[in-house]
Amino acid sequence: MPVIDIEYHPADTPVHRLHPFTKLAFELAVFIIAAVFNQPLYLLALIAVDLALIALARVPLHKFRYMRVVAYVVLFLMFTQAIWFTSFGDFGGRSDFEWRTLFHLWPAWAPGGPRVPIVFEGALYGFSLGLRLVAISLAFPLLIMATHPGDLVTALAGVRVGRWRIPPNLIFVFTSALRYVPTVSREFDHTIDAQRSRGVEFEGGNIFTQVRAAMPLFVPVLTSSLIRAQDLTIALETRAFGAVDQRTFLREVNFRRRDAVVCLLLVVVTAACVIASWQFGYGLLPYTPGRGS
Amino acid sequence: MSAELILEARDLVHTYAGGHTALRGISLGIRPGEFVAFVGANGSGKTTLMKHFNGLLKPTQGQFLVSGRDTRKTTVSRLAQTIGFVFQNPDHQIFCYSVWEETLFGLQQQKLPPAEAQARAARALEMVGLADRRDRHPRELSRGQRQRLATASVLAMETPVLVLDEPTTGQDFTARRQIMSLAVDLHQRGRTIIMVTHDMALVAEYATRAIVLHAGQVAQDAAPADIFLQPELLARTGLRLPPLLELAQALRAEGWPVEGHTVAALAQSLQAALPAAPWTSPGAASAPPPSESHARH
Repeated sequence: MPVIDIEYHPADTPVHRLHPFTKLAFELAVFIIAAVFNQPLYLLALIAVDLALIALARVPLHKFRYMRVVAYVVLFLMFTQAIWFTSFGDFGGRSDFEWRTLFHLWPAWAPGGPRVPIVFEGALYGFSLGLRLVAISLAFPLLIMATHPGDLVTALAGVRVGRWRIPPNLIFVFTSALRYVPTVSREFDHTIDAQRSRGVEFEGGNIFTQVRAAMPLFVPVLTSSLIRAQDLTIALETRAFGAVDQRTFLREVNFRRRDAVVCLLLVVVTAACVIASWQFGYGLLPYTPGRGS
Repeated sequence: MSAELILEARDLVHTYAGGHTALRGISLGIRPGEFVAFVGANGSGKTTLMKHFNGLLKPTQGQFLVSGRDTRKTTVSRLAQTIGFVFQNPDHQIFCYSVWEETLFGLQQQKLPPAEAQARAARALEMVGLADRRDRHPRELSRGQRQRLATASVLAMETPVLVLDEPTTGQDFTARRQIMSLAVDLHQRGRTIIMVTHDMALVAEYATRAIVLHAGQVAQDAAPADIFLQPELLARTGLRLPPLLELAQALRAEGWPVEGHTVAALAQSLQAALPAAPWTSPGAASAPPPSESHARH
């Protein structure tokens, strides 16, 4: 099974029945809310909302295996922020803040030590940056997993600004790109298997061996993707893609009242979060620079 | 006992991250020098089991041993020195600019001395019949040739065990013959050959042992000839007799003394039976074949 397994997951749930744009609005809302807060507890609450929606859409959790990669990013952010956070200078005018040093990377018993302090507040800030990423990357696939691809196409084709519409070719490129994410991920897995069987080490080693290991991985995946694109073009042309300008659609998607209600709710909640953070300083770490009063 | 087995599965269970259990307790041993065919319908667990052979997958329960070493405690690159794995799709591994580099790649990974590596690569290309194309770009080759290039790049590693995943899928008759005679040749030189296939004719013709997988378990482990005598097993596991054997069985039911399960053996036994055939005995055009069931007509 591919690591990135973001595919339409058919089910009949309230989330599936929403208009694609309502789900898009949700993602936008998560994006904004994740950006205005940096207090881990607030972000954890946001992640809980994500998880509740995933449960409501009945998407199995193993589809989110790619989150393992995100977990590494969170650890990386915590580590780097723990080292460098205190060297940023501007802390909202609170230079008197007492940093709590957990330990020194260059220990006291070493010559010239102790140096390179690991600061608790920095690690916490890194953790909250990571949580933002988690919240967003949990919310984003929901649109794809809980929306029939055909509905997405229909919804996009319905977008109109005056007489301008989104060109059908562009919509096709967008949706087929989404469609091929798991396919390419699977291709990666097969290639990794094939090269490991020939003795290539993908784990461990220094940065140079890692970069060299990328060659036998990316070349086959890239070439087969190009060949697949070529095949797809031929398949499309044989089925008269683009023969008529005015397309019709088999599926109908309507923006219903419940979509309006959900969107309104999203706007209200997002606005409330922005005001709570900017005006009243809720959900912010006290020592973070440049925001609050 | 386990010392003489080159591959051994002990109560092997594999459950994928999604919760799907592909292998449900497999125990088997393969001795050096065997020619084993793994057969089974799609989803029977063949591929999952293969990937345990060189540690691409690790058992979730039980053990898999390669020359007595637990695959969970050995890296894939170490196991690659024992197990050569030829995948079905050559395009998943070919990335070099020439046939020659591609063949050398695995050997370079093992840090072999250049002279030795080049000698091996040359031998491997010779074996698959691509020696005259060593400076070509792999993309210029046909699909069948790329398959043989992928095979050569694994052959060059000169591993005692060779695993062939669906070796003849998408190959024409000539290429199929070439690949299989190569396998037979390597087998005769003492290598252990393991092939995974749907093609029962291939099993009949080449394997000395056939292991039928069904729903993640070993349904049967016997000589191909024994497996072909069990129609209910074949039906249950979604397999089919090779057409030639079906024909032979039909002939046998008619009373013809047709024996064996390889093309050569069948032809020979038919030939031996021929003097009794109606069209070979002049003047007896209406004489029945030597069969009681037929004599009733």
